[in-house]
Amino acid sequence: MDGQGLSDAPRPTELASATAYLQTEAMNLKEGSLDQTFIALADPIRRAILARLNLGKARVTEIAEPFPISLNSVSKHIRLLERAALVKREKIGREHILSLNPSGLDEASAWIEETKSLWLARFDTLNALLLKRKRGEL
Amino acid sequence: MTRRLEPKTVATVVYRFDAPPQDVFDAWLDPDFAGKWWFTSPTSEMNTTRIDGRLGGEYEIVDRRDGITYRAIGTFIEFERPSRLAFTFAMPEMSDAVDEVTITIESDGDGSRMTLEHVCYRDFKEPYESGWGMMFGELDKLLRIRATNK
Repeated sequence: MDGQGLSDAPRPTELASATAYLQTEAMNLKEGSLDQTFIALADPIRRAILARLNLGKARVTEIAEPFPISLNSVSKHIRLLERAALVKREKIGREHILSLNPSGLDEASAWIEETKSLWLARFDTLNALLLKRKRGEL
Repeated sequence: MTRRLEPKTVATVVYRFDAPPQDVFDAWLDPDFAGKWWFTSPTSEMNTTRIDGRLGGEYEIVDRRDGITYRAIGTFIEFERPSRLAFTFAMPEMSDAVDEVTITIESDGDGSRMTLEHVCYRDFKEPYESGWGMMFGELDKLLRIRATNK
């Protein structure tokens, strides 16, 4: 019988190209949302977050728990993943539930996430203005 | 009004405002007010807004920030105060794309609930062959490679 485990072992050239993959792509800081994806994937914590979400949806606190860094730092990583349209956030009641964006590795999804963020920011400004006007402060 | 039939990408946003539907509706059409939230930013140097708020009316918003001028124009293609408003959205100096935005507003207690649909007809590149399955396959291989080389 063939040693199946041994035949799976990578050759040195595979190792070189596989580890070079993420490093070099992260260095290419060109414009474009696809490059945001490469930057997102180039960090081990972010890859671990994605691996966790691959197992299913989770609350932000659940995701942060196993990491030795602060919740705040984990949140920053998560926001980067959201901006790259790899992760999406739903607000259910008071909780924020995160999940992988199924079509996350494509430009259309990136456009959708950027557009949603833009409108939400505008609406926050609008709502603040409407409240000010209501209180006679405008 | 016939909508275009090409392949489209849609971004949908739902937002609850602390103001009644007519105030939210009018916020899109009052030139002074719209110029403060719609198409502007804290670093704006100049902002001019021209809005003809009626079915078939046109708008033009010009915002200048960090030395770059951004100009958005469009036409109101649906107009039902205070529940429904739709308009085209284009930035001709920057792109040929003409998007369509539709908002619907409902009462929600003493506030409003607005749904915005932003439709774009741009030709986006096909998703990666990989998708998530293959990406995790790659990562898995990478991690096993690293483990065997320690």
